[in-house]
Parts: sequence; C-alpha cells; structure tokens
Amino acid sequence: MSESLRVDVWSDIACPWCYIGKRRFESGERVWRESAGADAPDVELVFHSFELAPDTPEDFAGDEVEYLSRHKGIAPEQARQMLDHVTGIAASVDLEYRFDRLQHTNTVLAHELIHFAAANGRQLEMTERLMSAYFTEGRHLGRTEELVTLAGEVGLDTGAASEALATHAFLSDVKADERQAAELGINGVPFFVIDGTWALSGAQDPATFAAALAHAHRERDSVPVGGASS
Amino acid sequence: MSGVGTGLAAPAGGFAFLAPSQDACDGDACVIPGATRGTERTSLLGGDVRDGRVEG
Repeated sequence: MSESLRVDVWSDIACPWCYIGKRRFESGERVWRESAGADAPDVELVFHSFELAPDTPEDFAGDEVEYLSRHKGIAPEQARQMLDHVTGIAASVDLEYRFDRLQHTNTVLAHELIHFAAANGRQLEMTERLMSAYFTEGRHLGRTEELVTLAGEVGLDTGAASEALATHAFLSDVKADERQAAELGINGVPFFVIDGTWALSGAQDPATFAAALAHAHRERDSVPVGGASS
Repeated sequence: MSGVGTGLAAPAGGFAFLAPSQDACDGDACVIPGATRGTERTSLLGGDVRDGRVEG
C-alpha cells in the first residue's frame, strides 16, 4: 500500500457547513475506498483553525434567530427560514442541528483545545466531539470548564487540558493556522487540501470528495520519482 | 506547540481547484446559511463523477 494521502482541512467549530462538510468528506472517503479496493492508501486528516468571527463575545444573550436578526438586520422569520434550511441539509447527512439550543460564542478556546488534543493524539475525536456539542447539544464552548469536560470525554487528561487552556499554551498554534490560511488565500471554510496540491472549497458532495481522492491518488502515482519535469 | 499548523505550502501557481466552491462559510456571514452551489461545467472532476460513483 502506498503512503497515506494527507488531507488538510481548515474549519471552525461554529461553522454549520464545516460539520456537514466533514460528514460528506467521510462519506466520500468510504465511496472512494470501496472503488479503489486494497490499493487505497490511508487518509491522514488534519484539521486547522479558522475563526470565522473572532470578535464574537464569549456570551450572547439570546438564541441564533435573535443573533441573526440583531447582527444581520434581517427579520426573525427570514432568519428562522435560513436556519431551517441548513438544519434540513444537516439532517440529510444524519446530523441533528439544534439552533434552538445553540449557544453562540467565541471559538478561540475551542481551537486551542483542538491543538492540545492534536498534541496528544486525539485531534479527530476532539473535533467531532466539539462540533456535536455545539450544534446538537447546545453546550457552551466558550467556557473553560465545559471544554475540559469534553476533553475528558475523548480520553484526554483533564488537568493538562485545563492548564493548557488557562495558560493559552496553544494559542500560537491557532494563530499560525490562521496566518497560513491567509497566506494560502483561504477565506472560506471548510477548505480541503489533498496532498498539498488539490483543493476543494466548501461542503462538497460526497461523490466530489470521492473523485478528488481518486484523482489525487492517481496523479500521485503518475508523477515520476523526483517530481514532474517543468 | 502541536505542529499542526505547519508544513503546508501552496504549490507554485497556487492550488489546483478540483471543483467550484460550494456551501462554504465566508467570514461572519457564515451564520447566514445561504451558501451557493458550484456549477459542474467548471470542475476538473466533471468527468469523474457519475451518479455518485467514481469513474476511473
């Protein structure tokens, strides 16, 4: 089996399309793997931080409809329709979005926790747990104690997680991800880069992700040792 | 330092986009889920996707 395909993903915990995109990617990877059979290499998924709204306060008194109405200047009914729309799409990939429970908050601490989890071999588990906690369970991801509890649920040391968040030990990693996104011209998420070359922006259909993985795998095999000539 | 945010550089000339962007969150506008869908005709993968199956 060949070397694993690396997939770098920029996303935000508070991004509804990112969670949908994660599910669609996972589905696409399964489709591709079934097509490729035993030749399919492993996929190494690496998440990177991207804060969509870094100026969001830790606490917002009100639900998501109120947030949209107040900050976007749209009618509550229009906001509700928009949220219903994305809730329906989430349901199509077996995700339960509960915007009635959602607690809008700043996500920088959650990103710090994802980097802490990465340093301890639990990045994928932590990312999934945080997205579920935010969109389905209405957990408050701007609060250290809540984040530490969730860290413990994926098998991380809660004492070490608490200390990492208190000292912001991984804040520089969050900012490094965001600087890199800016340098790469990434301004929307989710954003997928396969093998450092092939890019996909947004929550693409599973078939597109499957085709992208197949394409990257095929192109890799076609490149001669030492790289392509110019 | 986790090292997660390092080690990736765009190739000369930038990334090769395999499909038009769709359903992405762009800045604070993300909370308004009005994302748009791309069009198949501009996709490098246009010939690879058939009814949800991957064609070689």
